[in-house]
Amino acid sequence: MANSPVPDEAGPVSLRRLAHAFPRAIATVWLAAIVVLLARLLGDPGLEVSGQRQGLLPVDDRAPEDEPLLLLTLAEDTLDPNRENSDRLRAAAAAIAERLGPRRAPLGPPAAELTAWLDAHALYLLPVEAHDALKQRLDDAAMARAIDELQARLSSPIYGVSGEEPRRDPLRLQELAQAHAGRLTHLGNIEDMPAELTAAGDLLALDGQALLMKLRTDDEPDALHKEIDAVAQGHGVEATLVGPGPQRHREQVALRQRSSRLLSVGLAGLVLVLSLALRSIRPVLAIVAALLSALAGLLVFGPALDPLGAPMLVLLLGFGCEGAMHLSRISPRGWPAAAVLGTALLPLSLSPYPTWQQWSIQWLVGLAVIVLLLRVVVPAALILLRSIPSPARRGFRLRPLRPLAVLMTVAALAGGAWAVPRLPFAAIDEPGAETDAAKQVREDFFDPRLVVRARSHGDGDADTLERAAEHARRLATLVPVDAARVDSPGRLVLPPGELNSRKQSLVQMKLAERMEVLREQLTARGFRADAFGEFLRGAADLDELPTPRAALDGPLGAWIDGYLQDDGKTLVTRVHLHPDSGTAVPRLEGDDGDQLVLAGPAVAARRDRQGFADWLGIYVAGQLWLGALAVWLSTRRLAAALACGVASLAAQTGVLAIMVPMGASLGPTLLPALLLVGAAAMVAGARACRAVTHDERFYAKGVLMSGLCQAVAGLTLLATDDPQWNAVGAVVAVGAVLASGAGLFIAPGMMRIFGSQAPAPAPTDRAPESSAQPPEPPAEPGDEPPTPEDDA
Amino acid sequence: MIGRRPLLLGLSALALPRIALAGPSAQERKLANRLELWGNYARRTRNLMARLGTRRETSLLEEPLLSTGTLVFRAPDLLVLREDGRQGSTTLIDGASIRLFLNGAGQHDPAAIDADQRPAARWLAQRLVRLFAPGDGTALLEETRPNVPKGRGYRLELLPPRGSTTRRQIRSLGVQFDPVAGSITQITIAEAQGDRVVMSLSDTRQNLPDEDIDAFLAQLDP
Repeated sequence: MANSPVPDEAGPVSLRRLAHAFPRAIATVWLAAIVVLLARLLGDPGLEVSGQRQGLLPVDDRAPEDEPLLLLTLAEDTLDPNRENSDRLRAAAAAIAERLGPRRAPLGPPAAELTAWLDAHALYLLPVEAHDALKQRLDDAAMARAIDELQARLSSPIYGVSGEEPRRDPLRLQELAQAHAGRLTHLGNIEDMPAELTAAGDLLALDGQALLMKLRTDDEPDALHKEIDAVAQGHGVEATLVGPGPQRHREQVALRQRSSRLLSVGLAGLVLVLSLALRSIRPVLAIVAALLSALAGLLVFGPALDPLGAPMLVLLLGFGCEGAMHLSRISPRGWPAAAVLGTALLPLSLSPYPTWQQWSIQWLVGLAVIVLLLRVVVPAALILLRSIPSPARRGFRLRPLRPLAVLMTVAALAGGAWAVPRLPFAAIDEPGAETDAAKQVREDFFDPRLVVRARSHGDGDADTLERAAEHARRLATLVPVDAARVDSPGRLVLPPGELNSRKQSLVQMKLAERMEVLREQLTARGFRADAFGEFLRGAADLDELPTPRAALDGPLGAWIDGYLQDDGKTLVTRVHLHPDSGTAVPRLEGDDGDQLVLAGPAVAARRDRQGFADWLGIYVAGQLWLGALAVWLSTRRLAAALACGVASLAAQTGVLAIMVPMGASLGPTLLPALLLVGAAAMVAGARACRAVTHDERFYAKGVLMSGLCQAVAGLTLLATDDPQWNAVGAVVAVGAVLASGAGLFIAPGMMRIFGSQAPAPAPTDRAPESSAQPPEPPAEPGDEPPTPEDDA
Repeated sequence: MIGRRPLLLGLSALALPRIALAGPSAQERKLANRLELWGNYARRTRNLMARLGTRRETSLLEEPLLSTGTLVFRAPDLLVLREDGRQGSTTLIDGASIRLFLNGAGQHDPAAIDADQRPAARWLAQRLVRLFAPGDGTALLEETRPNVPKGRGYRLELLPPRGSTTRRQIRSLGVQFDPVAGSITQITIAEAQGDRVVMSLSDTRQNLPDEDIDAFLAQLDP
């Protein structure tokens, strides 16, 4: 131990003393733990990988994974110009539906049955508020005028393709429904979307070259696709699964492929930086082995690896290298730096993002494990390997420059204030990388990400449908401002109370008599009254009521079943929002005052967007407070804590300013990166303040080991092909550089401004300082540098 | 469905005499002949006004519906079909806008029908406009399957492409040309439901003074 650069002056509880006392025991336990972890990782079930991209969405707002969409397309080389290609799609869809059985669900109602229902109950489906207008339209003169106008429009060559259906509605009474209660609409309604509904309830694109089906199954996407593909290929059709479930599966595969490259690139970068800093390969290998064992522990005992967690693990390795600083005798105590970095993500436990809530703790634990390994296991291993890293040399005296600190702070804060309104918002419902099939679904049919759900509950299917009918009418008020359509069978039925009031109102209009007059007027003007027979009969017949039970027992029952869950006790209404994500979805209340809750990725994203700027401030403030508290506890100097807080904020705002020319977006995915940049600046600042306060030398090696290791983690993410990882990596890489600069140039200057004047005499100042305690390097390799404090 | 690019390439090939020498089919020769006849007249059109007689055969009525009116075209893409009298209706196609309104109510009547979003209406409106717009026929035949019907007269039939949902509403758009001038004398729209609209054009005047067209358009708002 004579060659040890660490003086044997540790306190009663010392990690260093522990490592020096039991190196063999520690190394043995560590190796045993590695064997166990490797056995677990390489054995069965092995590394658990989750492709969950919706981790930032609250669980209730996540899109269901058991309702994938199936896109059928025609290969370009199989298109036959001499025949109806859409027939092949229909045939393939029919064969797939037959194969899947109950696992296939219709996207829309059967067209003929829906038309028959609407015709039979056209007047009942008009709200009571429209009955005055209805009465006016059924007046003799008004009906005569309507027939004349119909005749006038018939002379137009485009009338036949205008969408008007005189046989079903010669008096244009549906206008009244639109004016009072939004449009009665469903998927496949040609007025709403560029697709049409097939007789089977699937959607066919207008160019006839793509067909969309809906499935309801928990089957593994890969196996399901193989099963479907076997049928589709027989018809010369390509089948692609779209939705959160299949996307999760793709992400799983991609993550497995990326993880080895991510690990090798990251470790190569760390090895390079650590080698430059330590100038000895054995400590570097020991550090890397410790990091790998920590990583293995996190993978085994932590949650499944997902696309949001993988970059966090890379960052953890990069930021964890701070714990190896003591090998150069720059940070012999280490706990303040570990505390600042470990608590950096704790404010995210207040956030609504489940994955970040989880990581706020997981980061703390992971960093603690890494620091422990680097401070106990690595020294023990180095003792056994008879390798003692050389201490830092050639430090310099850091002179606080107050004007420069103020200038840099003002510039960074102004830059941040300038940048925040200019940075585009990256919403939490944005997919990582959209597949061609998902894009085609969005363009040719509808955007599944904009579909949100409202749940209606009842005692049985009829009761539930009745509740859904009430809710559907509330939801219809969102059309057309906030939503494009309300997809619910509840729009087709009426609750008994409403039904009775409508019936009473309609009875007073003497509809049978009115329809007879209409028939006479049509005949008098040269029309064939029989051509309007469905309308005339349906309007006159008030005995056929659109009750929930009638709908469930009728030909629409199978379609309605697709909306029911929990044995008919829950009905899911789907609301298709407009793509404008800037406005929050208004709150809706039911008749009995209860909240009508809309849930879905788009709702969560809009809600998140509304409050993101405020919450960003809260998270940053929380991180600054926790970090400054750690600095204050270690230094007992308020000025140093405040100065480090300013440096931290300057680094964060500086990163925001640089993100604008980088073309980056700001959103919840970047929150951990921003907070870690702040923590890194806090640590660098504390180290610089310590050097100034104690009039000690400042070592570039410290910047190299902490800042560059963090930057390497960022660059590793930047080298991947995942856009979200790239964004996180860019922020961390740039932020690590800025953090070192802010710590070096801003913190000491600001500390002077905040009141800390003369350098404290080092030998007498026993107050615990910041994590950065660079001792004077020994003149000769064997000399012991003075170390004022020891591990606590 | 025929892809747009192969279709256009094929049709433009018809217009090339060099290729024609290679031996196009009788159908292709007839099509090129119709297009040449039509193009000779249409390429001079800045504006056009004609008397319009419309006959709709529909199962809604006991007898075919007959009406008279005026057709006005102004390059590049304004077409108005206006029935005579305040009780009649007007069809206004202005670029991407397709509007059907009653003469007495005017084009800004909230009860007017906007058909811009309907693919079949868009297809038909574009074909109607391009029938009168100057061009070499490429735009006219875009997204169609042309056919020269058998029988007497210079006729051309434009069918919606296979696989298109327009086919579910429109069976064909037939055009008859004046054999000498090349102007359009009749347009026939066969709807998929069975209705048939025949528009007869007479007294066609090409390139009128702009004031005459402006004066007609000013009537659209009562």
